[in-house]
Amino acid sequence: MICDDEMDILDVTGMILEDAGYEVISVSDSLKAEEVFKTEMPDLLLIDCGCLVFLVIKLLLH
Amino acid sequence: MEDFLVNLPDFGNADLRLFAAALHASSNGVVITDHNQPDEPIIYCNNAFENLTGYTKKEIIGHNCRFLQSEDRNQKSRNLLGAAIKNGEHCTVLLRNYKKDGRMVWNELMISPIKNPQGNVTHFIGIQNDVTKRVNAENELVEEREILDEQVRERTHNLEESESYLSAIVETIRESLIVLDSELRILSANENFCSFFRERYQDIIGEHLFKIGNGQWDIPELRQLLLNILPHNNPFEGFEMENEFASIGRKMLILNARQMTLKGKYQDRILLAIEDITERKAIEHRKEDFINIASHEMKTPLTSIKGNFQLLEKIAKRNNDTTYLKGFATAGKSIGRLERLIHDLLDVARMQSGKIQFNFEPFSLRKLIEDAVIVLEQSSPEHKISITGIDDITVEGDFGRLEQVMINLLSNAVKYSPIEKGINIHLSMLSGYCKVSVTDSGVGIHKRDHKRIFERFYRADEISERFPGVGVGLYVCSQIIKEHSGTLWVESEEEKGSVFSFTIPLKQK
Repeated sequence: MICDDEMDILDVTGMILEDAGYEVISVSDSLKAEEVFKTEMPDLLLIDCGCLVFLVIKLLLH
Repeated sequence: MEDFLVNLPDFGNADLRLFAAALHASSNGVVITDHNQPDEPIIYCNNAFENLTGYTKKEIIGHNCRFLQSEDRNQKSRNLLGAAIKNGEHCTVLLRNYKKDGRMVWNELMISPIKNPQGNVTHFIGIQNDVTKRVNAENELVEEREILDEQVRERTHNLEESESYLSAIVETIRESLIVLDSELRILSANENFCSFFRERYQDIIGEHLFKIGNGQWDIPELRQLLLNILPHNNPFEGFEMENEFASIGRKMLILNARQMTLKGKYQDRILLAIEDITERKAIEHRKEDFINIASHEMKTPLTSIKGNFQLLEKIAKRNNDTTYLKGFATAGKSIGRLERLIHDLLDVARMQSGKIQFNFEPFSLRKLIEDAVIVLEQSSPEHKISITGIDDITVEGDFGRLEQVMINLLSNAVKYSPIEKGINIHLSMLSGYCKVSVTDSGVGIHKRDHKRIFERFYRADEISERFPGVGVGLYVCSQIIKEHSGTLWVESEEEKGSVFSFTIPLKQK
């Protein structure tokens, strides 16, 4: 699962990971990230901590 | 015995004869004139009088005293003398007399009337003194005083002229200027000071600098600097202060001060020049903000471009599609350059605001150099980079930042050596420091630019025409080396290549 509010970055990271064989869930809306995380329970979470720092802390606590 | 004494009638009074003898021996010239005879003739003169005038008794007795003034008859003193004789009074006058040989002497003459029992004047006694020396000395004194007065007048005039010249400059200048005495009281202020700080001239003159306004000048550091000026003639420049002023709000000022001497007038004054840099600082701030925001905004799309590009290149390689391989390589280099430029710009902004963090750790200098060389060899395989000097040494510093310096210096060496392809890196160790020199045989740098190339956004004229760039790389390098307590400098001549060297201490404090 990748979270970034920059769509361009989200797209390219998603493509590179998919190319490398990963199944990718991209989330650009930080408000939805928590919900998606809970339902999808991803193995790996890539997060842009610059803009989503509160989310990071919350998910880590989760 | 003198005839005169011999001929004195003997009244059986020895005292009179003694007095007469004394008179005769006196060093003052003495004459007696007979008032009852026409034209006041001299009936007695002593030896001193003969000496004083140069005439002999024979030539004196029977004459009126006026022959002593020769042709110089229009002397004011003669009128006083005439009046005293007429009125039978005492009088003292100063006369210009002439000796027999024509020499002028200043004669101080005292005359006293002698009266008979009925109170009528019968004789006058005249006592003469040669006061030429005294009068000459007095005259010289007067003359000297006049010369002195003239010099003082001239000097004052010159001073007034130079003062008005200076005050014209002081009033025209756009900086605020004040003059302080040794106690830091304000002696004068120019118009700009009064208008800028909204102070009335008459309110601040004589006031202590630290007491005017709301005491905003009373800063311990400034006090120390000002007090140090006079005792050791110790001027200061570029003291920056930011303060809240009651009348004009927050201002950023830059202060210069020095001792002021005007020869012969004063030497214990301080000239304080105050420049308002509030606006300039604000502009600089906005510029830095702009660079910071702009480079941040560029970074995201560039990351996207780079990512997409790498992906495309990878897919093409996987599909054995060689059509665009050369294009990918060129574009990859350009992206790398753009990326470094954005990083440098971001570094400039961070350095300006002091936001760069350095992590000092021990590392192998050789590894640092070799890593940087690998980066350069990948992007410019046609240049040959050699490493000479000591084998290896452990240095304490920020590996990533110093690698950035090395890549920057090597990139410059490559960039500015389009024809000569050899580049040398020399490592050496000097007491507690390591030194790294990067030598190229490129276009070189004119001596006048040796210092300025390390300034922000500075580019040498000749260079900016031939090579692209914005002029931040060397600034970033010099700041990084500075943070390591080292120095970065260049030795170069035009068309003869350049040697960029830096030193850093082996251990950071």
